[in-house]
Amino acid sequence: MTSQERTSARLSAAARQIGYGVISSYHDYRAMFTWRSWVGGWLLRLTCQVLFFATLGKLMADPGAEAYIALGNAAVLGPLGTLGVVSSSVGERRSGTLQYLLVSRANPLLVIASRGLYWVADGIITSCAVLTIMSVLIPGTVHSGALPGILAIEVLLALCAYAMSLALASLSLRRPGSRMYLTASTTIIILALAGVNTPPPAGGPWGVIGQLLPVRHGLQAIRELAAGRPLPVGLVAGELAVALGWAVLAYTGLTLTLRRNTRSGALSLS
Amino acid sequence: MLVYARTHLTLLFRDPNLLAPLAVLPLYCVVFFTVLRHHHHEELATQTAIGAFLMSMWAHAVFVAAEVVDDDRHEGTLEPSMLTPGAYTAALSVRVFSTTALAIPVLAEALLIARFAFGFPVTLGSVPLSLVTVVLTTVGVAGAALLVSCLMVLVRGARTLQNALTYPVYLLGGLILPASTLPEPLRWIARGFFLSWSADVLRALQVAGAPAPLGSLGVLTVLVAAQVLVGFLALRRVLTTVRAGGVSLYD
Repeated sequence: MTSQERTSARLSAAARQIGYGVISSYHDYRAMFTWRSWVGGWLLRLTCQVLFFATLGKLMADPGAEAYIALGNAAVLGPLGTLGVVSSSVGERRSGTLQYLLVSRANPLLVIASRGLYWVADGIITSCAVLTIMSVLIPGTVHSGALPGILAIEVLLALCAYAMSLALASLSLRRPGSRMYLTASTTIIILALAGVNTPPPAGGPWGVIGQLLPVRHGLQAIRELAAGRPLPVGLVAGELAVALGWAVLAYTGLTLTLRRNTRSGALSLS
Repeated sequence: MLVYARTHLTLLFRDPNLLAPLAVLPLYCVVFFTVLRHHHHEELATQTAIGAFLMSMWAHAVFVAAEVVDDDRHEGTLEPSMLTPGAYTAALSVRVFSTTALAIPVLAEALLIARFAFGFPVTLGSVPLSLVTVVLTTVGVAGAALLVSCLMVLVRGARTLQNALTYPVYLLGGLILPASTLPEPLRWIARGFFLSWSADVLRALQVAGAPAPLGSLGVLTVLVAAQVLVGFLALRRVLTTVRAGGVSLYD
């Protein structure tokens, strides 16, 4: 077999694994919701979540504050939704499937990453749905013609946050008890520092942390588009760079965690 | 009764995940206070801290206290508990109440964050009446948790319902903006919901020099009593149905 054929076989095997991961991910999602519980439970809850934060803007009695907060919170739903993988990855340990995954010939990282893709899909869909609802309920939130462009950036935001969530999953796979703390504290850090409710801190240590977070650059790009201005390529590139950084961290973190868990035997029954 | 509470709290402190909402949710006030600082509305700190406190207590009740009965089912202790001569419904109510009461210190936590982390002025009005309102609110929220417990037993996939019972309730309870600002049909519903009165009374009590809202406190007392009664009766009925084999306890 030539090296070209070997590469092609590897790529095809990886694509097949991702395909199975996506199918499995779809069935996991189907088990969580029915259409009725998705619309009447999940979507209603997320819409109210954005409206709740928007009332804070209303309380400020500052023209534009309500729309600013509504846009930020609707756009951040997708990235925050991907944090679900921090808990769902622990499921591999709880259900005892992690050990089988490690002895199989499949790449465990690909399986873990692709099995959580439903969080990305759900995040993008709910974010865009709520954004559309907000554009009707709170005038000035989004320029109507900007929605398609915003959808594209929302995909980037969700993937960037998914890379960060996988990096955090490498911690929750080590210590399953930490998953709730990781998810909740990351949510608060993003809400406070990524420019969701107020402009992000420009300098100082908080500003530096903010620059490294998902959402920070992409959300600014969404705000530009929502106001009817042209796409700021620099901000999109910034979000992409952050995404790549987190992807490297996720790969390294998960690899080290799986090696460590294999050595220590901490593979199941967390 | 004390034994029920003590045993349950011991179990609770052994599982750090169950205390996560209590440890992390109050930090939402950091997000709220960042908004206040940006818009130079430091005078709203106390009001916002009250909102964050009520939000934390409700979430803790829905996600932790209401799961007491589901945990018993999951661990296989629900059936033996119902077979014992002890009053399981009363025991369960005490456990749910004591779990909900763990959220009370969050109010002090939110006020301390406002004062010392953000340097906001924190104004406290009538402390005794505020404490009475906090205790009444705790009882009411525990009563609501009893109702959610019923759902946990009766409905498969109640987790989706748990999620749906957070932000819509925060809006209806007027935790940030008073319920009187809600659109007409929602305002009527909110007026029958004890949480909106809790938020209003707690906010009104912090206004220096304002007369005590005793009328509203009376309405809150009646609504809390009704909430607890409905929760307790519903739970008793559900457990009777479970005893009669009317509910499948295991998948």
